[in-house]
Amino acid sequence: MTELQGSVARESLGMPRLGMPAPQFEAATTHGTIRLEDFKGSWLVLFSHPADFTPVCTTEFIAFAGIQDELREMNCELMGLSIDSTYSHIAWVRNIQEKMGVAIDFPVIADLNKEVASLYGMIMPGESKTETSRCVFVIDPTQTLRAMIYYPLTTGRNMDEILRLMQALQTTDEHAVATPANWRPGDKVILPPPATQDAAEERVNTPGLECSDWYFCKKDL
Amino acid sequence: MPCIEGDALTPTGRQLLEALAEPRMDEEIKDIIGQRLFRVRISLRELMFAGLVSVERGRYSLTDVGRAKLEEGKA
Repeated sequence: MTELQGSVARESLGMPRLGMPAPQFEAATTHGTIRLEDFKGSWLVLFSHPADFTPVCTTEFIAFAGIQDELREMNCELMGLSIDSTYSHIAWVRNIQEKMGVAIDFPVIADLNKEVASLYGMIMPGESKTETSRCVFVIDPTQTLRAMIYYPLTTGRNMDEILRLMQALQTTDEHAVATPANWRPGDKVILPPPATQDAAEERVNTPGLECSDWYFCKKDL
Repeated sequence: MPCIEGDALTPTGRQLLEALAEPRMDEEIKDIIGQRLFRVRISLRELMFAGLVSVERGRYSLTDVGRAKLEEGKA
């Protein structure tokens, strides 16, 4: 095994899986010591960034702050993470407020020992061994991991997609439906395919559905 | 926002202890003091660690030390 492969294996040990309990942790943050369980009962968008005082990350922090109110209306909290100290986070957050006029009100984990980053597979050794990539983890109120997004160091994330993902997950939970490509609130949703022949027959004869075929039916909410 | 600095209660700590005039769930405390739930839980843990608050079956209440600390501030 090469040094890189060994490193990849070590860093990947804790790769999380969708639908599984989100790995629990306790971490130092800009809001004090936080445990993942502190967010029980709320959705949580946990995201990592490569480093404080870097330009793309600064644009992302400003953008995350911009969607925070909308997320809170959806009972969703935000929390950032990087392999920097609490003091660095505080200085950077204060700098963003001073230079860009944007208040960062969400906690940021100071993951100096890479404990949380390793648990969540946030480090991509092929990109950087000392920085977390641009990862997003959506954790539901029962603390189940529901979605993950991974972006490389060079590419800032799209806040619209994070909002859309949250809206889609909550719509799925509330109405037991799925959402098609590029779905937006107000668009038709998809019914899960019938599991039996009888159910398939019933499905195509159900009024009010828009069915292209027995397995492909949409409806308005 | 810390609840205790040195040996003294911060305004946040005092507000939280005052909300515990009777035993309450964290969700109720959140509604009383108007803070996000995760922040309430962070503060409660800090106050529990300091021995000012205890919890039983999800309901938080003041300990004798916590009650004395509140009175101390009023004197």
